[in-house]
Amino acid sequence: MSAEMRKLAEDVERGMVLLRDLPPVAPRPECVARVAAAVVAEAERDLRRRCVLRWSGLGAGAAAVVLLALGAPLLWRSWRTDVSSNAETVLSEWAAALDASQERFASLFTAVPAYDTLDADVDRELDELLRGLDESLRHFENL
Amino acid sequence: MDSTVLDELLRRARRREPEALRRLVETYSPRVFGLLYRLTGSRDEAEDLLQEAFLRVVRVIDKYRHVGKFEAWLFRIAANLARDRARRRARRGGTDGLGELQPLSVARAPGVQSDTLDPPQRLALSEAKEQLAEHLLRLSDAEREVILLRHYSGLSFAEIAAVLGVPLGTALARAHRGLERLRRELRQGE
Repeated sequence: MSAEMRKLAEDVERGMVLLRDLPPVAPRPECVARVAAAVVAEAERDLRRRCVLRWSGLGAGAAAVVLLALGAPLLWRSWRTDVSSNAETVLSEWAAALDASQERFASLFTAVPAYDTLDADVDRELDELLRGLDESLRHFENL
Repeated sequence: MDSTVLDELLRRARRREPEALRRLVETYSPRVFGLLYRLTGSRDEAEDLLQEAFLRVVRVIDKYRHVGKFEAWLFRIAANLARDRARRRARRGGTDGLGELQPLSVARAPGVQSDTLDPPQRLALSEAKEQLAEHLLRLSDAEREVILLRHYSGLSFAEIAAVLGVPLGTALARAHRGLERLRRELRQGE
């Protein structure tokens, strides 16, 4: 640092004393609580996303399990509306739903690595996917 | 915060442990909020940006390599968010980075026992502080940013220059100009 720069730095540091009288301000306690809750919720969503990514990274077999999530709503509907459905019918409907949603999943999945800049719509869709995954896994147990 | 405690807290925050995340928010919120409030002049906007800043922290915490510069990283996120918000508002034709001034929640300044003063003295002290806050909001965004980062983050000017991506001389010159203007304005107000 040059002598001139050092003098400037000293002047500025002395000048900073002016701010000693700046009134301290604090966030409202409810604001801090709200921020903390939002951060924790985001962390939970993030963990679920990671879980999906990990599974997807295991290869086509694991990715297929994730794809099942997209078929979950259809499966759920058929499960509830046709109690006489046997497992074979349900699985074939499921497979059809997977075929239909594969393309959408591929584009979503491509967007995932940059999830910190995801727009709200994709973000929401990813959440729905994850919820579907939870449901589909429960159905799997039933099957 | 002690660096060992912070290291442990960050390690747990990377694992997304709720308690660690809550503690980070509670520990750093007052200073980050202070910076954001003084940058924007709006309590609502500062609270909104505070949440955005911590959400950003969670989203990218894995990319952060902890080498004892967590505060620099956190304050850079907060300052960048405030700057982006100001730019967006300016593009939409709003004020130049400044929000509407809202009433301050004035706490006692450190070292000043205002409750030992009589009411007129207390009023004068309070008015002087308010004036300082208002003059600060009239500085240019760049000047205010450097001065407030120094005040709230505790970072050195060299660190602030790195955070803002400008040479040290530029950061110092901005602070110097801003402080000179503040001093002048305060003198005129007396």
